[in-house]
Amino acid sequence: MIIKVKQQEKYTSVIIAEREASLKNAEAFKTEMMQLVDTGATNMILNFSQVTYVDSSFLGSLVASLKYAISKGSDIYLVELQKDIYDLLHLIRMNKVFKIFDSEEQAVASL
Amino acid sequence: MTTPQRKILIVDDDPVMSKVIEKFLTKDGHICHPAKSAGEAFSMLQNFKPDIILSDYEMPGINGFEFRQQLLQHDSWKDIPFIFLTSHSEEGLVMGGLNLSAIDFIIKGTPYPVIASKIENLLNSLQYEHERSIEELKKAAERLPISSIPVAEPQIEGYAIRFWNKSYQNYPGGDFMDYIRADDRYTFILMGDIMGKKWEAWFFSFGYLSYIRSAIRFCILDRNLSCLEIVKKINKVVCLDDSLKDILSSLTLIRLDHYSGEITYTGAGDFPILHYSAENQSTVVVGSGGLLLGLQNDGYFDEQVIRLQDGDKLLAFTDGVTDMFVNGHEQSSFLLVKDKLAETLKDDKAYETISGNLSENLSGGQQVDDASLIYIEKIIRNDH
Repeated sequence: MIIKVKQQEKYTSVIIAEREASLKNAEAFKTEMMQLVDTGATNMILNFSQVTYVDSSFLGSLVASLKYAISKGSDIYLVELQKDIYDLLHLIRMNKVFKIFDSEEQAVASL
Repeated sequence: MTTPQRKILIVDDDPVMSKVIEKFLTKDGHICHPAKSAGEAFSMLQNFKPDIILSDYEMPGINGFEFRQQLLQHDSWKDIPFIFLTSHSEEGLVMGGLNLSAIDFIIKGTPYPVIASKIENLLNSLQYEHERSIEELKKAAERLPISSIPVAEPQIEGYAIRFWNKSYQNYPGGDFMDYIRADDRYTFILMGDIMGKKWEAWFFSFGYLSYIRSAIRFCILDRNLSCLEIVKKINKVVCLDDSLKDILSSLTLIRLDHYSGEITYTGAGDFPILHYSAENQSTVVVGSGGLLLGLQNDGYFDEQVIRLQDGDKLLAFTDGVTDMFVNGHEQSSFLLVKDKLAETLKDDKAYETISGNLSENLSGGQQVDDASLIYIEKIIRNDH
């Protein structure tokens, strides 16, 4: 499994359990996220703390997951991004579509 | 032919059998992952994808046939080559196994070195077939009379315009570049990056490129030469197209005014472009606000204007270029790469240096994505 899921009272905590988020796990990640949405998960807080590298294939899957989530009335929050990944997302304006927070606590507080 | 190191999942409740096969295969350089039951194998498959699965038929709980049937129902596992390994040799059983798309059925009584060599041969054949299929696809792709990279660069008096591209692992890739000369005064130059790699990205690059070419052509016919309006139109069409639902692309669209050197630029989820001013001998980053094409109807697009003076240079590139500066598995930093490129832009032969450096990095095997770059220089006129 690419993601580790823990259901909390108000949200679903999702940890990406991979250091390298790339072409090799992008498709599996998207499938797992979509399955999670199908089980009824609404506010998914996606924790990137273990991820040190993201490529464009994975970003594509991340956005596809968000589009799917929104179409089902759900949402994805990104937390604990390492600086270079945070900068990359801002560089390509992903911060305009994802809600990005420093920590899970801050994301929860915004719910 | 040397077989690369393979990950082999051995599913057998007999630990002795499993251990001995593991010993022979490990000696051949492969990595074995033993599982005592189908249930344990399923748990292991959650965390890694083997190159081949060897499975016993008779096991407690789920037997080998049921294990195979369940694998076939799962998209991620159904295509992993599967071999039955069993002490049963009845014809009906063997045929049943082969009907489940198992590639072979090995009888356990066979001497171990023969089993190991049979597996090695099967792995070699699979490797050979894989390489042959890739080669055939590549040849077919090369024969198609279409390309996502122009064969020649635009010739515009007073400017040097260069396109540089290197696809990932020499597969046709998801980056695309092109130019369209609207009239004697304006030329559109574009570059995009489909989010993904290899064949899928390559295939969709044509879909995107066709939309972009058409949008620019239609706008030229209507004498609407605004980069912003063109990108908005492209985004609207892409958002409506269900076949591009999960496929996103960046786009850098530049319009060059040959007479004045004015550049207008609209970006969609692309990396900012670099503008080197010859007068100030410094480089500034010009960013755009637009989202990736196909992300949402309102893409927050805008239009930036840059006035190229004599000796000025402009550099646009895809994320694959920054990834080529990565060491190991750490994320590349745009700022770091920008600083390196900005320094090189001061050179008289900036394009040659940059493309040379990128090709050199490639030879070190650092490329992790398709990489493309557009270089525009306003040549210093002699009458100055």
